[in-house]
This record gives sequence, structure tokens and C-alpha cells, in this order.
Amino acid sequence: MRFRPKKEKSDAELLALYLKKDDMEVLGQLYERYLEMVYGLCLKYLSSPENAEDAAMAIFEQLPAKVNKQEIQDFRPWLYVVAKNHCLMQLRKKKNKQVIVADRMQSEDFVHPFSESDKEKQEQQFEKLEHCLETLNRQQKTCVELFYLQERTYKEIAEQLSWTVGKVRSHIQNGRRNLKNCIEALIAKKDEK
Amino acid sequence: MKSSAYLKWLKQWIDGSLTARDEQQLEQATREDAFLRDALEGLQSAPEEDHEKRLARLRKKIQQPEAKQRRGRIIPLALRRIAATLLLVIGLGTIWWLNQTPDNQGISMEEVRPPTQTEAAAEPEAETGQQELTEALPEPPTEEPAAVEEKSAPPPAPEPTTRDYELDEVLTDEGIAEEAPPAITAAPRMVQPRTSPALPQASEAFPLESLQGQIIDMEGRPVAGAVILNQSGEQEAISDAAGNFKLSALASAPDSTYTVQHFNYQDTSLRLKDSPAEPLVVAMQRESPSQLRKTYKRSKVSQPVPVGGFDYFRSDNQAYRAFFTNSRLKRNPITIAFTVYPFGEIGNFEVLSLASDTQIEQVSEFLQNGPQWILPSGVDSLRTQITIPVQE
Repeated sequence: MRFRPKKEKSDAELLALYLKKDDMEVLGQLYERYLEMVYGLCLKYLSSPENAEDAAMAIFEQLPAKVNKQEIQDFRPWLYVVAKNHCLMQLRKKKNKQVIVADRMQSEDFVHPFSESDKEKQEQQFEKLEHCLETLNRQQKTCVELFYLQERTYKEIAEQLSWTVGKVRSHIQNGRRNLKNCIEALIAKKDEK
Repeated sequence: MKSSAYLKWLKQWIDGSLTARDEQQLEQATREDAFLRDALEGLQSAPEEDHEKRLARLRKKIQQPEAKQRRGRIIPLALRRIAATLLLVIGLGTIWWLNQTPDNQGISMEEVRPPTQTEAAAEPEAETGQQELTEALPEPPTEEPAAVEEKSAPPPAPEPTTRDYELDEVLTDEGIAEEAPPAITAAPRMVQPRTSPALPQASEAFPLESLQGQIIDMEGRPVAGAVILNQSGEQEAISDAAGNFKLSALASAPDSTYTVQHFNYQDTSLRLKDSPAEPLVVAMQRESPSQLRKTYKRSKVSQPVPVGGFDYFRSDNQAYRAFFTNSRLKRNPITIAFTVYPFGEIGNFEVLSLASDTQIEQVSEFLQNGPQWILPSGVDSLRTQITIPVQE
């Protein structure tokens, strides 16, 4: 695999190595593979990047005790459960602070501009897309165009417009949501007719 | 789906190198992967955040597990202090015991006690050797009563020293001494400190090879809380409220240099050629004001752990009031932190708030001549922090 050179050990190998040597470095190496995932997961549940960062560290610190106690078949799903439980526990701790975990994912019926649907449908989508693009504000439009139509990366767009990557990401995300709403509205209108 | 692929996209989302095509694949992958979906949702909930920075910081922490340990150091520090104190006490106790051995071992040791220093090292061997002897060598008839007595050992009946020589001779003659040592190992030594009342007595007196002294300043006033360090920088003793200190274990290093340190005084070195019979008086020179200032600044950086205890100290407020309320000059409260040791001695103090040189001097005087610091029971030493009103 391109992203994993031959020499790289599998999760199971690293885990076995850790259990044998009790070397935190090995466990760190394993955890780092899923650091982004854990961090993202925590961000979803805890809603603040600060809390997510702390939680990701706390989960790592608790890992040795848990790894030694349990027999882990597959590290990744196990870590998912452990991390999720940690976040839910955190939420339970501050019960009085009502935390609503919002599901921010786009609904699945939204067709991604590059989805491999049939061409006719794609063309229809494209028309709507072009129409809706005009309804976006200037910043969102620029970012969406650069990202989806010119296939630039966040970074490239950020450099071009001298914004931060975060800002670009935000504009693309919001632009996309607006596009989706716009297209759905168009479809709904069409259906009415 | 190979996990490394979407991990790469996730990383690209974070570092900004994601393209629309990658994004599509990433989102496709989230449909069948709850972990990934949660992760992406979380990240998308804060698109403007610099996640890269946070992750880099996390990565750094994970790669240095020591950093993690540093977080929980507050309690271990206290524990370590207790451990160090215990070690010191046990160490002193052992030294005391070793010194005491001749008088303290009771008759059994008296009997076998060899006359010279070099033979003293073989004492325990001789003791057990003798026990074997009683069984193996009944031939010398004079020996038997002594041996029996030694075994039951209740009445303190010191034997004539001539006996010792006889015993020694028998031992070496028969060659049992060579067989005995391996069987003994360190057992007698290990057991003795526990059975002998070493701990309470260790702090009372060091009969031999120890040195008592007093630390005073140039005006002859006692300096409390001065720390006496040995050559390797380990703390050997602390002067008490009257400036008195005791150094033990001089026998192991008769020609050694000690350093006497105190926050308000210049470091003074103390060289011992051999243990003088009389108490030693060490005079310390006051630190110059500029030096004080420097120390104060440095000490402000190290944050002491605020421990309970102030209320306890303040309850002894007769002295406190006598010290602070009989002047009408303007007073300004400053906060100091210091450690109290078992006999009310105090260690170096740190000034935690902004203070002038005169205030620091007052604090020093207050700590030395102020109330008697008493530790709550069951505590070896206590780091405490108090705020006192001193003249500006």
C-alpha cells in the first residue's frame, strides 16, 4: 500500500510489542495512527476543540491500564468504543450543562458533485448547481468553485486568497450546505409543478 | 477499505491538502465506518479551528511520555519528601545502631566481641559461629556454661574478656569460621534495626562520630533553618530554632567539606579535618541586599504547593500578634512559603509576593524569632504558606 510502507507494523503487531515490552513509545505510535480520529470523535461529542484536545490526551493516558486489562482483538474498533465511552462519561459528568450532540452530517441523499451517478442526472445536477452557485455569497462561491470545480486543495485556496485554511474550510462547508438547500428547494419546486 | 487511505484523507482535511475528489471518497468511507463518521463530523463542526496545531501538540505529548508524568508531580513530591525523611531516619538509625552495637547487643555480643576494630566487622559471624560451636565443640568444658547462657540470654552477666580470646581461638582453630559466614549473610543486620529502638533514639543523641554545632549570624544570633549539605549536595542537617544542628556519620568521611546554606545568608563552607570534641560554631554572613533580591526573584518562579496548615499556625496567635501589632507604622501583607520540620525548624523560605529588602529581613526575623512552629501529629514535614503584615 502506498501510504503504509512495508516496514510498518500492523496494529496487532504494535499492540503485541507493547504488551511484551511495556514501552509507552510503542503504544504512542499505535495511538498516533488514530489520533485524528479520536480527536475528531471527541470534538463531535464535547463540542469544543480545547475539550477534544484534553480528552484525546486523557484517553491516551488511560490506555495502558485498559490495554493491559483487556484482550483486544482489533485495536481500531476497540479504541472507538473506549474513546466514545470516555467522551460520554465526560458529558455525563457535566450533566447540568445540557449538551446536545447535533448530527451535522449532510443527509445522504445529497449528491456530491463528483458522485458517479448517471450522466443525465449529473447534468441536471450541474445545471442546478450552477444556478445555485450564484445565490451564494462571494466568499462561499469563490471557495466552492475553486474547491469543487477547479479541484484545488484547501491550502491552495487559502494561499491564493490569503485566508486561513480554517476560513476556507468553513466557507466551503457553509457554501456546500447552502448549495444543498438551494438544490433541494429547486427539486421540491420542480416536483410541485 | 484500507484504513491508511481514509486516515490520509482525514489528515488532508486537517492540514488543508484535501481536494474535492478526496473529500468525496472520504465521505463515501464514512457511510460504512462509524468511527470515521464521528471523527469527520466532529472536525466539520469546527471548520475554522486550527486542528493541525492541536494535533501537533498532542503528538508531541504522546511521543514524550515523561511529560505526562510531570503533570502529576505534586503528590509524588510530597511523598518523595516523606520517603527521603524516612530514609534519612532509617539511615541514621542504622548508623546509630552500628555505633551502638557494642553496648546494645546484650551479652551475646559482649561475649564474642573481639578486641580490635578490624575484628569488629566479623561480629555477627562470630555470634552465629558460636552457636554452631556450642553444638559442634563441646570439648572445652569452660565453654559450655557460657554458651548455654548465651542461648537463653536473660540475665545481664558480662563475661570476662579473656573468654573472648578463647572463643576466637577455638573458632579459627577449628576452621568453622570459614564455613559460617555464607550461612549468616546479612540477616542479623537486617533484623537488628527493627528490634532495637533505633528510630526514637536516633534523633536524640549521636554518641560517636557525630558533630553538634550551632549556626549564628555575625551578630551572634542563631540562624534557624540553615541547611547543611554534604559534598554531593545532599542535605545532611538543618539548624533548629536555636541554630543548633547535628551532623552524623562523620566517621565515614572524616575529612569532608559541607556547605551551609540559608536564604538570607551567604553560603558558608565547613571543612572538618576530624570531629572536634566541642560543638562547632558556624557564623554566617548576611546576604547582600542585591543578592537577596536575586534570590527572591528566582524563588518566585518555583511555585510551592500551597498546603493546609496556616490556620493551625495562626491559632498560635499570641506570638503572632506580639510580633505584628505593636507598631503603628504602615504594614503591607506579603506571602511567604516555607517548610516546617519535626522540631519546629524551618527550611529556607520563599517570598511569593513583591517585597522590599526590609520586608524580607522582617520575614526572616519573624520566622526565626516568631512563634514556635508545631507540626500537626503524624506529619514529617509540612510545606506551608502564610501571609504576614510587615512594615514597608
